[in-house]
Amino acid sequence: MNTVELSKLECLTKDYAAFQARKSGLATALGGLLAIVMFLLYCLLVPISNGFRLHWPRPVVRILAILIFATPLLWAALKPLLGRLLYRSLGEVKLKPEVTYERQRWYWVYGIVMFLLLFQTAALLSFIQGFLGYLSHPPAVGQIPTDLPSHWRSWLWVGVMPCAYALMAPWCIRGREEARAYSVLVAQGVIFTVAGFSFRGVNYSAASEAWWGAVWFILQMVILGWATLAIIRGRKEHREYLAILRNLPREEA
Amino acid sequence: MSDANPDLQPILTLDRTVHEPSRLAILTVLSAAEEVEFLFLQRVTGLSKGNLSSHTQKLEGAGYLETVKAFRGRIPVTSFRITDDGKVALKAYHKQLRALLPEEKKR
Amino acid sequence: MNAVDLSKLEALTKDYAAFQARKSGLATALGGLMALLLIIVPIYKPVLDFRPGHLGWLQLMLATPLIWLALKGLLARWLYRGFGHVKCLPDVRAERTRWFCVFGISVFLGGFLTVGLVGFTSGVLGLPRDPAVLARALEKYHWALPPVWMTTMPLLYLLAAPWWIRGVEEARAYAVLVVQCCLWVWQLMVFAYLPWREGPEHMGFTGATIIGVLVLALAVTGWGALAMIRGWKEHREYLALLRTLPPAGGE
Repeated sequence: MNTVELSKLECLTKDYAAFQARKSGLATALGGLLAIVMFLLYCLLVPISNGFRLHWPRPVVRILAILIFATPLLWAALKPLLGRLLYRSLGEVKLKPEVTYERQRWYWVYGIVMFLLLFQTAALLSFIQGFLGYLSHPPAVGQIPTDLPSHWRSWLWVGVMPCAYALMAPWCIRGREEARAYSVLVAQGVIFTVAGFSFRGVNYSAASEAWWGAVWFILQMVILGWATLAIIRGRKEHREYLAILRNLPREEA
Repeated sequence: MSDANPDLQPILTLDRTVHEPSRLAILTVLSAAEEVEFLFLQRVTGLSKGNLSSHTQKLEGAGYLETVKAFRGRIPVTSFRITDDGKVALKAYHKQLRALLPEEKKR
Repeated sequence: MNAVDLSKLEALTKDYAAFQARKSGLATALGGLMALLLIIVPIYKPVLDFRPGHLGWLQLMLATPLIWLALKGLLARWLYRGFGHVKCLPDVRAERTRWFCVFGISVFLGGFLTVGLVGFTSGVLGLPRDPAVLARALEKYHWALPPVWMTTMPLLYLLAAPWWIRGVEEARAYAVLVVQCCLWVWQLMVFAYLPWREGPEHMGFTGATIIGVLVLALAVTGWGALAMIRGWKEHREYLALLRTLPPAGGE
């Protein structure tokens, strides 16, 4: 203890506490990895091109879909476990409360909740729009889509899923990196819902299909880019933690 | 200073910028909020405009407060906030004063 | 200045700052009054007449939470800033409580939209697929679909919340107003309740609905009365605070 500098000691404590308050290290990397897994799972479900589509039995499709939509919640559950296993080797140290940090955290939660509410509103509006279109131009008996689920329970998750994502947000978002990871995973869940679920009817024109396809492709590229970065950043943060541990003064004999 | 009674030494070392009653009141008010407008400070301390201005200038000179000038519509509004040095000085002053009190009055 | 008690001066500043940071005084009372009005007005005015051309009262009613927010801001500026602006010291706990209140409101709105969505899909899927029957339904019940502006109201309520809600009392008042508005348009949003087979006269007032409305009315009346008392009390606290100020133009 003789030669230890007080400012270094302060820094060390703050850095260690930060890992328990807002930094998530490998959990960020896991978030990136799960975003990629979600993308791959989705690719298994949808036709990659007109000529190529994997055909799965119905229960497999259901399991894959549930896996996709449960991934953000899975990450939210795994993250604290990882934090407890990896970043508490020297016991718990609470960071001093900070208003700016608290406010930022809540801005992220608010942003996610707003996005989900917007999605729900859009879903409701699209239903109404689609329904109005259906009423004002009733299709002939032969044109009525037959592959639509016949029971409202099939759509229950469209309403319940955003609520579950929103409910988890304040508890699983602590820092900016975590907020980003959760936002991306939630956005993936919602994007896949929109893509797999035709609110406004089933007859898309070729032009609009191409336009939506381009938007979807760009979004996915951005998300995959972020996921790669998140894996790198998470690994870096984890090494920062290991460096903290190495910097600890040795126990006196 | 060297001629002073050594028992009085702690009193003589009190920070005189803070020790002046009006300035002490100003710093106390500022320490209870993040930012305080001139009008409130004037009313709550009961000082005249001129007096308040001169005291705040002295405190600003000592680095104990900072002045924030803004506009509300077209009206200029002056507010003050205590600096970190000001907080430290006020705390040190309280501590010094408390140390000077006889034991039975420290409560 | 001679007899000034420093701790009193500190408390005075904190109390005054609290009125600008989270206490709302008469605005809480106004919230209580508006909540009562939201119960009373539908009894005398055709608020729940959802037919086109009769939506004026409903629109006004649904705008109540936003009107309250605007009035609250004005009241705070007129009543509680007599001696200029004083910013409160940052308080993590107050900030967290405030955001939890906003979050609670957002969860309620999300739940409301979920029920609306599920109700609507169940209504759509329960429709007869025969175009002739559908055409008849269109003619009869076209007005009964929730208009676009109504569907976006939950979004607007949440959009305004974090910027205007400052304290727990305000959050409570806003939550009560928002919940009331949502419950009044419940039938229109939950499409499943629409009487595709029975006719509009069956829309709504069943036994369960009447009991629900009565319970809601009682709860809101109780809260509204309490809010008015609490708001008035807070306002008197502010007046007492002003009385403790030293006379102007001293030293």
